[in-house]
Amino acid sequence: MTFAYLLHLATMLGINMILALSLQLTMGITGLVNLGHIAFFAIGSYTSALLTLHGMPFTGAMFVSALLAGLAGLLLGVFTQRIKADYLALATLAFSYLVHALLLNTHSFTNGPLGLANITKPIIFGFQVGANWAFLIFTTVIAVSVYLILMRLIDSPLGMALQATRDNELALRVLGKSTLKLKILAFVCSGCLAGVAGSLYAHFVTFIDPASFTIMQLIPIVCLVVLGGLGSLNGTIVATFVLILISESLRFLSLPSSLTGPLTQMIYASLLFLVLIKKPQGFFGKVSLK
Amino acid sequence: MLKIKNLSKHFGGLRAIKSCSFDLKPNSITALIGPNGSGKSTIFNLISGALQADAGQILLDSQNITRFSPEDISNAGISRLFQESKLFTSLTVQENLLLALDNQDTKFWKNLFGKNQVTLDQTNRINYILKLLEMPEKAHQKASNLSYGQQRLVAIARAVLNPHQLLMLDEPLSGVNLQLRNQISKLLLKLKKQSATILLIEHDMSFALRLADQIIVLDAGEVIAIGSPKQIQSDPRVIKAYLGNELC
Repeated sequence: MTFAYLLHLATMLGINMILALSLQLTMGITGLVNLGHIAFFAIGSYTSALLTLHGMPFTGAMFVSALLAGLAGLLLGVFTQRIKADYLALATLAFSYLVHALLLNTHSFTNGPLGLANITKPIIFGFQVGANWAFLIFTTVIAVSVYLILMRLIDSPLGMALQATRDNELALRVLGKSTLKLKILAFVCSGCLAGVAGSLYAHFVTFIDPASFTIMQLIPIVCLVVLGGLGSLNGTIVATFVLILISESLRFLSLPSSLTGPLTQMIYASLLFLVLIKKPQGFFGKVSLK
Repeated sequence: MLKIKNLSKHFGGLRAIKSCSFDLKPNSITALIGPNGSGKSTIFNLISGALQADAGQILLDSQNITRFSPEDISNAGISRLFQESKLFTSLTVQENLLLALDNQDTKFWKNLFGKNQVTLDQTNRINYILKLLEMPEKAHQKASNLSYGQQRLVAIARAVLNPHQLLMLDEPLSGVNLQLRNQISKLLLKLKKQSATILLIEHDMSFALRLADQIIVLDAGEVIAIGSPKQIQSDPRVIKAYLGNELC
């Protein structure tokens, strides 16, 4: 196990943490079963990669990535405003497939299934974040900021209203609160943060293709949110550490590489299955998945 | 204050409400009574916007609120208690009540960068009503940890704190023990003294007759009688609706 591998692992852990925390905002805090989250991540990744490949500085590209992913959240929130529970899950899943299909089929723009290569390492205010340790520090700063922003929101009256939307939407509406605005706001914020995670991902791995943004990539993130506990940011962080470390430890079992990927997916799926049956509120959660 | 004009609602082939009309006078308590399935809660759902009427009008101080959303109806001045408590179970009692107090508190940037402190006025109002309901020590308890009766009290407190001209209470006494009934009665009598306008659904007839200034009787989705408690008690149509043809 090399130091470079540990740095890589820690950075991926940070990016996954941002993605899981942003999903926690819609799914755990607001109670919206959002399977379109991977599309926000994809939009953030492709926007940042394409803009920097066309000469835009990284900071600007990351900002635009967050904005576009937030805009996608706004559109998804508006179009799904009347859809609830299982149907919302299906509608957001369809959104994931739509974005995936666009990435695959707009060759002139996204290079289709061949993906985008040679994505540059970020330069922030003249400082090249090329080395893995520098990228880790940058990712950690953003992950901590995302955590603090979400903590702040949850503890505010707005956070209370978001949680109340999850607990009982009609009861909140008869108190004069527009749950439609609250749900759209959750989608927008969640989209922005996933866009930031996507931008970090693209510039860390330096190659992205549509296969990195399928429902199979979303399942581990949903696992982090559900296992950690719906509504619990700390639970999400603990689950991210534990699950990523469990899946990474498989690398040291001397298994054929063709087995490692499917085995990881099976572990995630089995854990999700077990938790939903035995402990539906997750390990640190406040509410059960409806 | 509130005028209901020819209100109708169908559920498939079932006519739940048939051309109902009645008025509520300000500073009075009106009880909506009737046998099970007579359409009382449906009328509440129509007035509060939880359901949309098929025909008819709902006017609040001459403003047509028939097609308003539940949040717009609340902001127009109608506060409602549901038959089930519908508390925000993951929040504390205080948080449940805070959500009823202020409609301007969910702006994103204000919440991200503002102070977000509970004001002294908000604390005082919450403490006052919790004290009145004899549960001041429950303020920081999670709503899900309260007993059914205590949840009912918090739901009533939340409806009372929500700024309103008209308070609609759907069976406030249902499923609570004698001690809690007394506490709720005490609160409602206090509201009556303060000249509140209340529309009430209540199965406890003696309570409804004691509290209300006006009684509206529904049967099979139709208004069959409107009058003072004394008039209603001796109305043959009401007796027939409650006891049936044979016993009459």
